[in-house]
Amino acid sequence: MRFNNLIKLNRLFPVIGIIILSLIIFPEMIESGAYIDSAHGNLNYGVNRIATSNFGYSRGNCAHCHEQHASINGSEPNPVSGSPSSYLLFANNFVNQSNNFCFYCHKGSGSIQTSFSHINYNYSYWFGGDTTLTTPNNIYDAFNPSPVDCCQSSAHNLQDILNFVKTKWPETFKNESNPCNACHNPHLAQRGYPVVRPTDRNNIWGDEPNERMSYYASSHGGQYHAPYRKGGGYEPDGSSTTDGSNVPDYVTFCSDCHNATNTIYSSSIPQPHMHYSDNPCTCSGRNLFKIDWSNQNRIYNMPGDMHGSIARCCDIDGKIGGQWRTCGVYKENSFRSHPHPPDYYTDECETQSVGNLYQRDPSCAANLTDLDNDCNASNGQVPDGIPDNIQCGYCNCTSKATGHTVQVPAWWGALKEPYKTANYTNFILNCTDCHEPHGSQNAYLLRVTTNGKYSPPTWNVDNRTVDSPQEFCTSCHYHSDTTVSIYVPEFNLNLTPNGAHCGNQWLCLNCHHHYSVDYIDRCYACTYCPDSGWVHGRTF
Amino acid sequence: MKKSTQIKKVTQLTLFTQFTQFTQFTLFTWLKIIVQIFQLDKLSKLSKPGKLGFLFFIISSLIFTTALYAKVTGPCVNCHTMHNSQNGQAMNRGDTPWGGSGTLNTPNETLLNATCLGCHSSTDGETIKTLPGGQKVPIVFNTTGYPANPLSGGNFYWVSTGVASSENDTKGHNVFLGNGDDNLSSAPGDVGGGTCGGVNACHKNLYASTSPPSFGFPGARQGCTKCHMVGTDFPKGYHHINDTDPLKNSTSDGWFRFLSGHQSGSGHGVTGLIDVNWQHDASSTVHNEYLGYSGTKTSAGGFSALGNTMTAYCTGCHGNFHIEQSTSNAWIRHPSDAVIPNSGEFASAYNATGGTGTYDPRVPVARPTLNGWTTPDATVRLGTDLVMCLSCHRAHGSPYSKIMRWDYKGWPASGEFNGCTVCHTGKN
Repeated sequence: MRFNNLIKLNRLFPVIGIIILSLIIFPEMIESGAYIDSAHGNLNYGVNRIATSNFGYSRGNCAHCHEQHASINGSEPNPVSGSPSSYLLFANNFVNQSNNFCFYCHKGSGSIQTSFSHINYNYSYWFGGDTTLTTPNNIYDAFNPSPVDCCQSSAHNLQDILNFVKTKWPETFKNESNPCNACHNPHLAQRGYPVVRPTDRNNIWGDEPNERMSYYASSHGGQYHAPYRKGGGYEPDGSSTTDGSNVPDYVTFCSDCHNATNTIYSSSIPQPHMHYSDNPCTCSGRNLFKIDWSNQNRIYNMPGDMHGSIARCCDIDGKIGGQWRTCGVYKENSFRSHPHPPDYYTDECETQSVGNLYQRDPSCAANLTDLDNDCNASNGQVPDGIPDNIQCGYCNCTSKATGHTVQVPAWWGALKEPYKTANYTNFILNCTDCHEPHGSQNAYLLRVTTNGKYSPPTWNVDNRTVDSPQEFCTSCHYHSDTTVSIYVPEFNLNLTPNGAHCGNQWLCLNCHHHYSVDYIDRCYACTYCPDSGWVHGRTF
Repeated sequence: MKKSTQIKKVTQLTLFTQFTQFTQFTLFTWLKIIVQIFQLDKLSKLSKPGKLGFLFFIISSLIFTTALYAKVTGPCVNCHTMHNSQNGQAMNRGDTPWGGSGTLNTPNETLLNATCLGCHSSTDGETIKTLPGGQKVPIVFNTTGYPANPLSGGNFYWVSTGVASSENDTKGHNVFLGNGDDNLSSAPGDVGGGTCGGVNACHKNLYASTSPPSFGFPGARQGCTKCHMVGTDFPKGYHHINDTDPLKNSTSDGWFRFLSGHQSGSGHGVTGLIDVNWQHDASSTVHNEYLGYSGTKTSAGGFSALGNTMTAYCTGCHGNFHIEQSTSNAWIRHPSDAVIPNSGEFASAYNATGGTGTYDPRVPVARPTLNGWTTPDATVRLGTDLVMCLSCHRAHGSPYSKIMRWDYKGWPASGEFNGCTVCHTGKN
């Protein structure tokens, strides 16, 4: 440090000294205010129970939830339960799905909170941007959706949560614990960052850069791309940010429970059947499918989730090699021996301008520069007789019908925007891209509006009319879209939606579900198709 | 002044103090002379008699220390009047505070020249009055406003007649005759007062007078004497208990602040260490010490269950508040006399590191034992020391609802200190 700088700094010493001295004399000045910073402790919109507010307690005061002696002015303020409750709460912490301490305030009619400045609509409303979804408008309703039918609506079962967490983390969660606390710390939860991990309950989750989806994706070999937000922009805030740097990493958060090892029992889960018209969906209990979002292992028949960390390069040879093809390597030889996409160098991508679907880009093909044999300059550049443009997949096919470039591999184009254009080799989704955290008018906690697309809440596992069976999935995927013809390379066919996907209208989730390898061998991320003689499919 | 004269004078003062108990005045003089000696003579230059004198000072200082805790001292006339008459004028001031005017023609029992209030209230803002002879009197009721330096029990200002309201009634124990609590018909948490039932029992309210003989006392009890000096039939003699033990832990000591047991609690009382200035200038090193007992959390307390603790005393009227845990050991009321854990958010309570924090007189703690204690401890030992009733509440009154030590009710809007966070460090 230069001497002059030292002198300048020296002038600051008295100021610094005064600050330090002040903090010693008035230590309360340095209180961090974690609770006051929370939604419940906020001076403007924090907790404010009607009864205690009438006694003059400040908004955000402890007394709105905790009664130190189960009595104020000699009697129990409303709500009157007649006896003190655990954790000094004004009512029992948890009884059942509809009788929960939190619901005394977080409900519609009958709430004992003076008012709410921020209505607790669901995720699809606030972050998905669908402001038409005004039901539910409180947490109680979210956890108690109508109709009470797991095949048509869903909610995190609070008793199941409590059973799991108090078994998994008995030092943290007790019989008297509130299952909401598995995900929330009411003394820390903020509007923007409402959750804490059950394994780290004293730290808000999602408020640090390394707790965002961008970090999770990049650290797991992939990229995050935000879904469209209805009304414009991208989730969660309608901005143009798409890399997940503005959304909490709910994958890590949810994975504390929903991971590849925990066995979680759900007391009511849909049991859909193939022949749904004769055998409608029923609800019963079973262990939830495990979720392995972090596994990047691309070996066929191994655990993993395609929406998770497994790259979406789908040139799989499940029966022979078992190894996924390396993304970005499109050598002809490797294509010729397997079903392949209509990339530039394949037969499907024609040189002719008439007939079939795809046409090569002649200008790209004209560039015959051949410097590299592996498309990796750092390995040294050795000509191998194949033009780099072709070898490295730089040339695309163009749809003759639309004039649009066909992404490589072509079936990746089965994705809708914004994923189609982004065309990442490994999209890693956030849990909340698809799921509501509390409850949904869809089964499986699936959101009503996702990627900017509204899926009628009448959708349910048995409502499989032509347009609705995969209503939710078609928010991002073209499959079963009646307006699109899709080339299915496995069968070298161009199929309309009703004929696509093995020609059936099965519920997507019958086969494409989390960790399917553990349950239905044919339904890995890519599926076998019974109508093709159980030849493996390859899209998801 | 010559050195020999100085030593002689100190010796005289020391002996005088021991015999007269005029401790405060003589201590001041004594210290003044010692300072003079050290200003005139370096210790190394003292002769042998001088060094012996110095040793004598040290021994004397130890004697003085105990003398500070002694009984009331000074001229009898400070407290008593033989005939309630002086030059034809009545001497009984009754409830008249220091600085006030007015006398009563009717004499008091035990020849006192004032009531409890008369001695322990003042019209100004001072909370310690010094009588002729040096005797200091703690003021617990400043009639014209809440004092800047209330003593450890707080102050009854807000519940006094003329100031009391339904809101202010929540700020103190209602000790003023006929001025009941606007909100409460009996002590909150009252378990019935045992055999001392009845609408005006000590365990029910403090403002009303019992009708003698009743509730185990041959004489009437009202206000102060419903809590203090209940170990004897009549509330007298306590100020003359000739104890020298700084730790008040027995009947012969008069217990802590004359808080003794009664009937079923007979023989018991509150154990504690009293600050010489009743925490007028409280700090981490200057404060009372309280005894706590981390025993049952499911009973209504009392001396038999909780030992000679302050919390046990409080539960005499607020026993239900000590039913703190459910059958599954979950807290159902805020614990009192429970060990402050050295874990979780509590590990940094009282700014602790490694389990040891700094005593905060704004949020006092109790100790599991005070045996052998003579001076207050500046530390709080997490995992050992206890939260108790007085951790949050004043005994007499405070500016805050529920006699809280801080503005709990107004927090967080007030932006002021919140004592809860001294322990609940994660809730600030």
